[in-house]
Amino acid sequence: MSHALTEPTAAGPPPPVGGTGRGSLARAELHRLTARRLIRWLVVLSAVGFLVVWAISLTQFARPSPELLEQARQQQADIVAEQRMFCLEDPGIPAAEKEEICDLEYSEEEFGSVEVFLPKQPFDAAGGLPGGAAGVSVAVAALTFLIGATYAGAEWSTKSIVALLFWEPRRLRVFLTKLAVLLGAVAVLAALAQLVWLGAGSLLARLRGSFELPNNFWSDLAGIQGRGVVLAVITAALGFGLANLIRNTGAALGVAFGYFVLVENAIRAVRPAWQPYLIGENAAALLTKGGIEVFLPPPGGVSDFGPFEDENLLLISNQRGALTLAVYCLVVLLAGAVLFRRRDLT
Amino acid sequence: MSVIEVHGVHKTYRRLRKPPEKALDGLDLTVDEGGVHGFLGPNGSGKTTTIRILLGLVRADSGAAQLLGRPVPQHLPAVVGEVGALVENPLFFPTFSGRRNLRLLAQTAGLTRARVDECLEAVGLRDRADDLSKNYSLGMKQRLAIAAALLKRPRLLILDEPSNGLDPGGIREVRELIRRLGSDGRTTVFLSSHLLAEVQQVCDAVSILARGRCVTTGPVSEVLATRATNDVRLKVPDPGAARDALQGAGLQVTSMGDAWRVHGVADPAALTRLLADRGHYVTELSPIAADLESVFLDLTADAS
Repeated sequence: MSHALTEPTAAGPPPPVGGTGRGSLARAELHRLTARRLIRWLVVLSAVGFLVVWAISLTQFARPSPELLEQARQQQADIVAEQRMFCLEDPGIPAAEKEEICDLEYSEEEFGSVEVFLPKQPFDAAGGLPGGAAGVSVAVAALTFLIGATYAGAEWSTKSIVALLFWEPRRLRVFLTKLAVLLGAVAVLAALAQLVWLGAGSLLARLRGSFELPNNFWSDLAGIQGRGVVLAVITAALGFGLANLIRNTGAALGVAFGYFVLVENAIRAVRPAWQPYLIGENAAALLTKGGIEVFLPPPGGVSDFGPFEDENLLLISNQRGALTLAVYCLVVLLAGAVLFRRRDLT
Repeated sequence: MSVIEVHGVHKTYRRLRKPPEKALDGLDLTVDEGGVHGFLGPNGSGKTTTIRILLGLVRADSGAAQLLGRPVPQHLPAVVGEVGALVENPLFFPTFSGRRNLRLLAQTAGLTRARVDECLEAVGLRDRADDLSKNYSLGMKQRLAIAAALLKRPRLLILDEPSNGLDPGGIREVRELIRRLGSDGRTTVFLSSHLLAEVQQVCDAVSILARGRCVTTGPVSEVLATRATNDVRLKVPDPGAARDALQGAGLQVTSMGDAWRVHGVADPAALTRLLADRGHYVTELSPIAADLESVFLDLTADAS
């Protein structure tokens, strides 16, 4: 060490005792979160990935010219006529009923919309924007899980949490401030991602498709996007809570991977009655307009190929999905907070 | 006034699939305000556990601890702003620069950026402050940790092995800084170290731990006096004959390489007279003072 160590001179008033409170801790935590290199890379890579997918979409969708549309209609009509002719020549169908049966089975409606026969389909805003918003929600939820896990896990692996506790020893306050900062930041990130999708999807529809919207379109879309933000916040909290419990980012990601790949699939196969409690099902229910229906086997057993009776279907509504996920999240966070408050940091 | 008080603190670590490990066994310790207080003990004697209990990182099983007159951990938030600490290895984000690491801590307590720069300057890191801390040597990380401990202008500075990883020049500079802080009339430095010579040079008082208990405490001179001997170091031109003469007079003599150690000499003048009467003229006669190392080794051996 070539430099002579000298105690810094006490210029100005002495520092405040115990800090200036939550405000400064929250600012420091926001700084710590946004300055993390891995988190910045994750966000940048996600943005680049989104741009690439959007650019590819530009090449995969196209607004059809009147000529192409006419060709598609002609192709559809030819196929329908051909199939109908085969039907009429089928000796297995009683002659008296042939006309009726073949008209019913081989109509243009049965062959789908005329867009199916186009070389490139148009991007329909009415269906594409909500679908894309759900896709963006799932991708952002995965990203925020990763951010939450690495934000907590890195503190443990570097033990910088110990250094922080020399400055703010109220552990619960540290835990809650970190959580609040994380959830606020990912909510902003998720909302921004949905706004970006809205802009990019709308542009895609204007350039490569149609923008004819049904009634209630905007409220439905806003609902999906809002629930997407809620899902992102919940998964970030789960990642944070899990990494706090295990004190390691990699292990938290491993647990999440094992759960989604092994546990959920095993439960669907072996204990289908437990499906309403799976994170995957509840996340899907939260995102999907009106929720989702899951098939539950009747108590007396079920035939593998038997008809699905209405009474065997359980509706998991948006609210129920959100509530179930929130309960899981609270359990993980509470366990993490209690352990963090009580455990010895050696 | 005492800045640290510990009474009857017990701590046993219980871990899965491992036998319980008793770290503190009814520790009593008092550190008075001002100066530098050395904290010594062999590995596993409970030094770091004591510091962690004082800083609220580890929960004591029983007993009471106070920092700056306030019970901890209950009132730690009230006093933590006046306590700077460096505990074992420096703990920083490797992918943040040294400056950013300090700024994050300073922001937590509402300290200014200027204060961060002052402390970086103080430990000689200003030129490397914007390098990632993962690229720092162990000595640089240690200096960064000292800078972090100084940020709050602490009344009590707790340093656990601050010389770890420092080169000889760095060790000397840290020693001088500690001495300066200890004599500024405001700061009390609580220094845990394995470097006994360093502790003896800079500390006004010392506490020695063994097996989770404090085996001695007090001003360095008093601690050394408890193990004082009347031994002297003796050099004469004819060592063999002089030894025979001394042993003939009933004195115990052992070798110190190029000199003799004569044990239990209550009156050195009588010793020189005895040798002169037998034709041996003393070329060197000096009292052997107890040093901290020998006191430390005696006390910790006694305890175990």
